[in-house]
Amino acid sequence: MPNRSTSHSDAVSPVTIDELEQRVEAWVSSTEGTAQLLATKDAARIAAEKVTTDAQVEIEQLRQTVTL
Amino acid sequence: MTTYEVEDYSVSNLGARLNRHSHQGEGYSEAKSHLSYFDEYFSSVGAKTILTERPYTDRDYLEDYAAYYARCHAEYGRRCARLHFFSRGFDTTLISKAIEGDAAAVDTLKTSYLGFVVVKPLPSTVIGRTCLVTYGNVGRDRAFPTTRTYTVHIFGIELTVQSLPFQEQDTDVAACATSALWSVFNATGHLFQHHIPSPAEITKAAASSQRLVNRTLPAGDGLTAEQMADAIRSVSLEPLYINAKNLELLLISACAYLRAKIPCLLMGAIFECIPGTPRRRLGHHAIALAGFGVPKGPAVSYDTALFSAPSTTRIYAHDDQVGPFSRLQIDRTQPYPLLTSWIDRNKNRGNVFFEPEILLVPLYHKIRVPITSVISTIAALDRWLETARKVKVLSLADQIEWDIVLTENSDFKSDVYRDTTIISGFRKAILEDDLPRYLWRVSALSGGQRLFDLLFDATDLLQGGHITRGLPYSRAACLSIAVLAKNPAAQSYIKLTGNRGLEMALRWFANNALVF
Repeated sequence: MPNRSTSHSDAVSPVTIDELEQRVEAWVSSTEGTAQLLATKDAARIAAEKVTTDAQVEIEQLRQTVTL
Repeated sequence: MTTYEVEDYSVSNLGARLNRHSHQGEGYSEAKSHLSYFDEYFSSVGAKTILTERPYTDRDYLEDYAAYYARCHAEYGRRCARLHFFSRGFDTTLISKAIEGDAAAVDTLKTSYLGFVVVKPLPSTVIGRTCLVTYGNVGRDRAFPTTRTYTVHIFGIELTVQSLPFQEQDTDVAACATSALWSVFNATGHLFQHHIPSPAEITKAAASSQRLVNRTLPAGDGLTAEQMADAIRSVSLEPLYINAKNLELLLISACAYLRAKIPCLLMGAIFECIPGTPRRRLGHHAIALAGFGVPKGPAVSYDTALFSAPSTTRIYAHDDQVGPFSRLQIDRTQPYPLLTSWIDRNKNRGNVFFEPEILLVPLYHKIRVPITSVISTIAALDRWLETARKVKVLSLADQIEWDIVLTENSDFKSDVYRDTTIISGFRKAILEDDLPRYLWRVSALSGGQRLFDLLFDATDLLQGGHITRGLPYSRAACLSIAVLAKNPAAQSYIKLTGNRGLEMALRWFANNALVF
C-alpha cells in the first residue's frame, strides 16, 4: 500500500498507512491482542445469532386472534 | 344531482354530519372515540371549513355493499356522503366563484385542501375511506414515507392530498386486522402493482385456507397473524414475520421498511393502566404503521451495537379504534413501551398501552433478504470494529452508530447522484454499476459524521453474503478498516466468526485499500 497520509477532515485521527499497519501487527501478535481477537470472534458470532433468536416468532403467537 | 353544503368546521358540526349521513341519520354516537380524535387532529392541521358532497359513490364501500350489505332485509344505502376539509374559511359564494372559473377561488380550494372522510350509510361504524393530510412538522420532525398523492375532483376542480387511506372496522365485513390490512394494501397496491381488495374481500381471503374459529362473515371474531399472512399472499406479496417483543429490534425493522414506503402491520396486546386501579388487558389488536418521528436523540443500543432508529420517540399508525396517523409514544420506563391515543373507560387519554408482539411486513417477492440477516451481519461487524476502536487500531472517538434502510435501485442512485460527499471515483463507479432492484443500505456514523455505507443485495439468495459493495465517505476510517482486514492474522480470526456477510464486508475494505 502507498505510504500516504490518511488525513481527512473527519472523526478519524490522521495517521500514515505504515503506522496503521504497525499498530495492527503489534496488536495481533501480542498476547493480549490474541486474547482479544479470540474473544471478539466468539462475541461477534453470538451477537449475530442473537438477532435470529430475537426475531423468531413462536407458533402460539401466530395463532393468537386479533379481536379488538 | 350532487348537492354541496358548506359550513364552518367545529366538532359539533362534524359530529352532526357523521350522524346525519349514517343509516337513518341517527346512528353515529358522539361517545365514540373517533370524534374527539378527529377534533384534535383537525385542530392541529387547522381545519376551518367542511364541504359536504352527497351522494358520493365510494368504490370500497360499494364492493362491501355488493358482497354483504345488499342482502340484508333492512335497506342500507348504496351511496355515501363525502366530507371535505379546508384550512381556509369560506362559504358558498366562494364555491360559486370557483365553479365560474375564478382563479383566486380555485386557488383557495386547492391550497387549503386537507383531505376527506367518506361517511358510510351504516348504523354505527360510519367512518369510511379517509384520506387526510399528515401532521405538519412544526416543532417536530415526522416522516410518513408510506403516503402518496390522492387526487380528488369536485366541481371539475382537481384537488390533491398526500395521505394513506384509513377506515374504521365495521365488525360485519371487517375486524381491526382487516382495516389495518386494507390500509397497508392501499400503499403496497401502488408500490408493487397489485389489486387493492375491499375489506370483505380481505376477510374472505384471510379465511380461505385456515378456518376461522367462528364464521367468516360477520367478521366479529377477528383474524390470527397466520390468516393476515394469507391475506397478504392473496395479493401476491410475501409476509415476513418479525418478533416485536424486543422494542429496539422492532424500531430498527419498522423504520427500515417504512422508509422503503412499505407500511407494516403491528400486532400486540392492549392494556389499560389507570393509576390506582389494577391493570386490565383489553385484548389483541392490529394496527398499520404509517410513519415515525425522525430519530434525533443519541443512538440506542440493540445488544451491544448502536442504532439510530430506536432513538425515535414516536411511531404513527392507522389504528381503527382511534383514527388515522394516531400517535404511539415510546416510553421505556412503562411496563408496556407504547403509549397509545386510546381513551380509557373514564374517557381519558394517556392510560392505554400497546405491548408489541409481531411485526408483519408485506413484501414484493424479490425482496428476499430479511432485515434480520442485515442486522446479524452488522452486529458481528460492530463487534470487530468496536474492538479495533478500543485498541486504537481504528481511531474513532465514539462508537459507530448504524442506520439501516431498504431502498430501490432508482431511489438509491438518485440519492447518490445528489451526494457529492462520497470519495471521488466511488460515486461515478456506483452510478454506472449494475445493481439489483432492491438494496439494503447501511450507513456507519461516528461523532455525527458519516464514515461509509455498505450495500446489501436484498434480492440475493439467503446463503449468499448479500454485500455487493460499499460507499466510502471517510478516507481515514475506511483505510484503517482496510488495514485491519488485510492483516493475515486478523483475517483468520474474522473467518472463524463464521459470518459470510462480515467476511464480504471486510473484503470490500481490503480490496479497496489502495484507492481510499
